Amino acid sequence: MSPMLSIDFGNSFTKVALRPDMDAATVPVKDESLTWDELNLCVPTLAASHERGGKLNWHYGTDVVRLRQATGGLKVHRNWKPRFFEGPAAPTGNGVPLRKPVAAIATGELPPPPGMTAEAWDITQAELPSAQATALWERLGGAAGSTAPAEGETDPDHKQIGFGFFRWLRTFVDPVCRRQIGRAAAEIPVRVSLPSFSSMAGAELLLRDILEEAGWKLDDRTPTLREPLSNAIGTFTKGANVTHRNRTAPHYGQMFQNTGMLARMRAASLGNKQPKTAWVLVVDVGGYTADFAMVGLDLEDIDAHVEGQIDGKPRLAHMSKPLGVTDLDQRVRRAIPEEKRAALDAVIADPDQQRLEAFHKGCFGHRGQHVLKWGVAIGETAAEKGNIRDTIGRFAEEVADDAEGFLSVHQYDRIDDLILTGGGTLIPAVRDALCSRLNYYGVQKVHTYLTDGEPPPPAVAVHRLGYELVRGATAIGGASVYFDFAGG
Amino acid sequence: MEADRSEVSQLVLGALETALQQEGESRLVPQGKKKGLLPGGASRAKSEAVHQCLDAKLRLFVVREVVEGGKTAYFVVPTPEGIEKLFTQRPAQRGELLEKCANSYKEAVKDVVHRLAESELRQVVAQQTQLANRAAELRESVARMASEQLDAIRRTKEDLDRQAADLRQLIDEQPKTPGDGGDVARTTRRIEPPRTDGDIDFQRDLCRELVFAWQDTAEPDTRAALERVMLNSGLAQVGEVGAAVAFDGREHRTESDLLPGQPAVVVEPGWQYRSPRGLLLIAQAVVAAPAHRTEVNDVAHA
Repeated sequence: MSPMLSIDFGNSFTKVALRPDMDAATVPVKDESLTWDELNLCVPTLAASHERGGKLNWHYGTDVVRLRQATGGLKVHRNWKPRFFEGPAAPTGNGVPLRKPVAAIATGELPPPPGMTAEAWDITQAELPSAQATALWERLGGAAGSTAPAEGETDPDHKQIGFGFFRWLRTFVDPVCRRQIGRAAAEIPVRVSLPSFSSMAGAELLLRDILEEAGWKLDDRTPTLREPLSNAIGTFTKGANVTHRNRTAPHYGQMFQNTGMLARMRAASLGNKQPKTAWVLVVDVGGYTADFAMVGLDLEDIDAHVEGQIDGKPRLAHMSKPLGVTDLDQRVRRAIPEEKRAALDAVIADPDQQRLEAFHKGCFGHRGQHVLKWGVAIGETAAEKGNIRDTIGRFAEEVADDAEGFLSVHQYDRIDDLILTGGGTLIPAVRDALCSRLNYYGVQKVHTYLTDGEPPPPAVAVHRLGYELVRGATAIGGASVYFDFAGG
Repeated sequence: MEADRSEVSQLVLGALETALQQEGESRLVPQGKKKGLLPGGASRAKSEAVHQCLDAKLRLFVVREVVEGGKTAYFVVPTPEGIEKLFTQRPAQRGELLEKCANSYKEAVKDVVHRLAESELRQVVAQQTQLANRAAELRESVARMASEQLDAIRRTKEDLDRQAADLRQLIDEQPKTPGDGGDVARTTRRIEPPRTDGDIDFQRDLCRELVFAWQDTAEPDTRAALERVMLNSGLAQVGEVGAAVAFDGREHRTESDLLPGQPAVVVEPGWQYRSPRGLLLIAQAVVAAPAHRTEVNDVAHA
């Protein structure tokens, strides 16, 4: 038996998947206590310190959610994951490190990265430092709902939080592993998927240390993976793991049977005049950012480590833009009559995001309207609906512009597979704009969630992803038997 | 009494095998201390074996007769026919026999082995061809049967479709009154649970909207009417009003100062929806600290 665990370490939620054996399908680890997500697989990436009777107690994950938000002496730590990727922290007078470089940009101590200008974002100069800091915060992986840290705000020790969280996560996952395969989580090799920032070597080493210290058994071969690659493999294989030749090689024919990958690999191996690389673009439009990542899979040597360049183009590249669904909410808010804005503000501010999700589905979807409450219908008249549709259309074109900008920066001229993920790509206008614009690059297949009643995007072949795969592809892909033989 | 055939055969084959391993002539029957190809002693099987070895019709050996001390001794050399008999009867030992045979017989033995292999190969190929033909016949037969059955099923389906259409038309032609049998038959058909992503999404969205509407109204009558629809739509209530529970922020929300596990009372139920994908909590139950505890707290704060 060769089981494998995979952790998709997210800002807001962490997901875990288990491959029971080399030839068994990978499945997300589910628990019915995780009821804020329909699939019961999202573990909140939370930590909280609670001072009671002069003693400080720490809580993690779902144990934090068991506490009332307004509990006296409770301090909830959210969005601590990005701190692993911020680089070295600068000491302050009292010896507690400040979040760098985000706080430094917000206070004007550091110049912002190039391209982050007031003109580019259509905001005033006064708003710029705060917006730049927020954007950088998001680029570093800040979660939905988070804001850049305020000036002078200090950090708790994220290493300590990470250690506590991952130790808690192991005990949370342990009963599921014992129930499913009769083994403790600590005995099963684990891989963790991390963002594909360029400067993450230090963070990667630190997280590996933390995981080992927290009692996880890291996979010897590929303990860490890049998120877009895990996502692509999860999407292509749908969690299937098949080996042959007495378990010495993955059976790509059966693992990639739902995509055109296999035919392209065959053509490449036969030396046909076919491209030797499959370029996979992963577009993830989330709450605050639009992330674009390209992965180049060598069709002649599919097991090869994803690094270096092919024809002068990086095999793994990533770009994040401060453009997300939250931004679209604000634009739509400005497009509706003033008297309806308060109702929308209340929905946006509600900590339970289910009403907001319903609003997105109705207003940003094909219907183009949604009743927030009695007497407040967004998109009620033809003119209002038209305004909203135009706003969403412009947003969609901006996302597509950013996608093309990313391709242009790295001079990519071909896309074989386009994977659309994140809540923003469920908006039909965004999906259609991306498909129409990127079709120029020869997209052979678009992998996306599409319900049976929805019209597919124009002029492209669609590989419909199941609901579970859209939300758990990275965790599922991370445990793939593909990585038992390939470089991460 | 007749000799055991298999014993005779083993004796003859043994003689052939031993003769092949010796250069030149070999004595067939032992005489005194002189060993022979056949074992010593007298038995019916041995005399039958001697007879077969000397039989000119069988041509297993070339035989030379010599008179020694008044008795006839037989010196023999295996013939190609004898070698062929040996190799045919002992197919599993061919390699071993070839290796052990004397140099003078090597060429003859190779010829025999080659001939035998060719003959056996022909037989195997013939069998293969026969099997392939049989497989093709079976495939054709199965395909024909499947095609016939498929046609029959298609015809039956068309008949049933026609009958269903006729019956629908007949029902439509009947005079309609509210609550008559025809309407009941149509409205009480069993509703299948959602299976596709689209259906599951639709039911989840509908359940959410019902819960939002229920939360947004304070009218007891409206709530009661909605609750009926909610329960019939697949929603389940979380907690009964007035029930004592242990506070858990995953299921409950509260304005009271409660810690996990502390006693609480349900003020407003929550709602959850179990879809084929899993369990979704749409609304947390609202709870409060039990009245006596609140009073104690009030006193303590005062």
